[in-house]
Amino acid sequence: MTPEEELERVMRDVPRGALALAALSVGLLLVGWFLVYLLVFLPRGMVS
Amino acid sequence: MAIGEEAIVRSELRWAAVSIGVVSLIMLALIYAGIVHHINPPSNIEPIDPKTLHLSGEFTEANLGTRVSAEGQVTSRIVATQFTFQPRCIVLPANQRVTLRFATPDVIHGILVTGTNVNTMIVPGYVSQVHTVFTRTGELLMPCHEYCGLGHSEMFATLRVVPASEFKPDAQGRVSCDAR
Amino acid sequence: MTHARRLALAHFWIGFIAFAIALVLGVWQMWVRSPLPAPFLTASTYFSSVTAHGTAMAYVLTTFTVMGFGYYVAETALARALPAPRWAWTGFWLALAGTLMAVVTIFSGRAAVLFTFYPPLIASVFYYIGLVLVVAGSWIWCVLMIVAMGQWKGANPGRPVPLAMFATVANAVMWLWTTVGVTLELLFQVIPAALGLKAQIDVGLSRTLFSWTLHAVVYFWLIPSYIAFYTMVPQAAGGRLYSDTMGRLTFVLFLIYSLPVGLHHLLMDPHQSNAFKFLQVALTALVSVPTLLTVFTIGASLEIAGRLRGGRGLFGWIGALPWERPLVLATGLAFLMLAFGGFGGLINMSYGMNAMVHNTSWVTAHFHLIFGGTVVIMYFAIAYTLWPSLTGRAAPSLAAQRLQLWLWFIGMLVMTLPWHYLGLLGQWRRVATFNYADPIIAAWGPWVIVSLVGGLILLVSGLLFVRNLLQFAIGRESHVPAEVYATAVHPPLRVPAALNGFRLWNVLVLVLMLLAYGYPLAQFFIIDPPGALVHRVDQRR
Repeated sequence: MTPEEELERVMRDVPRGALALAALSVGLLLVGWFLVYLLVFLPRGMVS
Repeated sequence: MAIGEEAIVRSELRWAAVSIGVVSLIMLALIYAGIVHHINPPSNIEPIDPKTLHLSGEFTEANLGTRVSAEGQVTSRIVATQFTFQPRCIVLPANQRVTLRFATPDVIHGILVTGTNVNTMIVPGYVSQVHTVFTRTGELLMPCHEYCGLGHSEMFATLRVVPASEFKPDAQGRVSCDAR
Repeated sequence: MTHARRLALAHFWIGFIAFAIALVLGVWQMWVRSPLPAPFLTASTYFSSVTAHGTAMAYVLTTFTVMGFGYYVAETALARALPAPRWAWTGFWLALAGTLMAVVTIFSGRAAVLFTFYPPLIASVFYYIGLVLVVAGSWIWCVLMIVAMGQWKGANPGRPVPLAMFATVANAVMWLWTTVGVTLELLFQVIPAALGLKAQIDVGLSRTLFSWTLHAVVYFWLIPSYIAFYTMVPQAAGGRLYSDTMGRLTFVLFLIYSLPVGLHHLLMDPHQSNAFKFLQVALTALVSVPTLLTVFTIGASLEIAGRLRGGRGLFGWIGALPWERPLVLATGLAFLMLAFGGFGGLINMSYGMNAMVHNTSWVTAHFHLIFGGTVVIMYFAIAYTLWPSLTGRAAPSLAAQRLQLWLWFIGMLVMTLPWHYLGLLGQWRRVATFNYADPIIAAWGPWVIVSLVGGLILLVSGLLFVRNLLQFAIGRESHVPAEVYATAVHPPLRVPAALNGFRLWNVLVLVLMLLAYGYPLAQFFIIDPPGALVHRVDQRR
């Protein structure tokens, strides 16, 4: 296969993997944020 | 090419929409904390002249420390100055709304109270004010957390949170650490 | 390369020498803050050291690296000689003179105000003038980058500016906007006070002006790393850039959104209203969009490389990447540190939630991960990538480069993970010593020692980096430099004018800045708050 054909072949799968990886990272980030929000921040109580 | 440029850009824009969704969730949670739990930044645009605050008015020496008003409102007034707090020990009641008011005659300071959401900068020219409710009793640290000069490391105060039953104002409504 | 080779080498070396000195100081500072007895400790030595560490890392390492890298990109990506190289050298000598002036002032004990100044504390005027000269040198660089792009466009009408240069000019334009805030603060407030011409300072105004600069300055440091992600990493990994268009859009978004967000540094200040704080927090949330776009685009570019090398399945392409290549390895480690640092940053910017961590070690951990981690590890990798073409020699050992990058990553995590925890417990910033006799503080001691170990690992890594660069002298000669720039899946033939220049975006920045900073700055002239008396730190009592 020529390099262009090779590229065409892999582009059938891209960006499924990158999307999965990015979604997983951002999902973990969001979960982490809400854990700190619910378990540390809100229990420390009101300030204004 | 199996994937045209439009398809690539479309996948990117879809991901951008997901990103905006994620940060929007966070913004909604912050609005909820602000409105329902009353957790907001301590903004308080209330000018005071740092050069004269010790001479008259609210932040004269005799007026510092914790005081309960006739209506039962608990307020602590504290001066942050290079390199100490006046007073260095403050008594406050637990499970009751209290107000902390700070001013400085010299440079920028700031405070936090360990293990709580109490946090504010103290900027010369303004009164800093924090309303809060302390839920746990005991001694908490209230250090200066902003660089204010070479003595900064030695600048901290103690905050003593006592049960309401042990919080006993004197005839003028004052409560101090020495009295106990 | 006609001029850029020597220019780039000179700039990089000044930056890396400053980095090595600042690294030693940083480790000593952590030692002082730990329960272990440390030598040379006085309040003056400690805070002079903190000032030197911040100044060297944040102003010297960064500015020189950005400039040196920019000159390299301008000549190689545009494939034409740099315009007015004499001016480039003028900028270099100006910035170097400023650096030396600032450093001598700090080490003479007359500038213990930290790199963020804190007026009404006022240092010797030579510290501020030194920094102004550094900025002036960088302004010359900005103009040269804009001129270089303009000349290329004149000679190549209708053709898209190469992405590496487009991004470099985005950074130059952003830097011109960014430095306005701190320059106004220095020229109209701080330097007149340091000269004795003013006895009082409006502190709310000075803090607001500094906040204008304080967030975008981080993107100035960061953008070289992003340029490497977009234009060099896909090539190093053996793949293609997934989308050139989105790369352009990302750098435009950085230009727009890194400026009107600085008030998130003042969330705990009394003198700004909740309305403007909330507005700028919302704009700050949008800065995460170009970052997350980059994670996706670079992920997809690496996925192309991994699949071309035989990787299969949803995640199999990750293992198939050529991790033995330093630039690829550095990118993986940079993204991991970006994840941890970004997590901390999301919490910092979270409006009322900032109260939980403001001015605690949590914040220190956040910016050491983002700047010391993601940015600096990519500076290392950029140096490793460019050094063969700058010196005409091949690297004698890639293993030594990989070891150095791994040590940097491990050291950074060992140092900053305890800092996050200590920050949540309330450990505050910017003190030389803690009273470990206090029961609350005593419990922090072991974690402070763990973070010191992380600092020592970073020191070893930093010294190994300098050694690795010096080792090029014994590498074999190679005068055929490898291609460093990546090709996109669809190389751009034409791009819309909006993505080939910055006129439109400058107008948008102006509108957003007026909206976000107009009233927050104007209010000080309306309410005219009382000033604070100047407190000099450069006169011995």
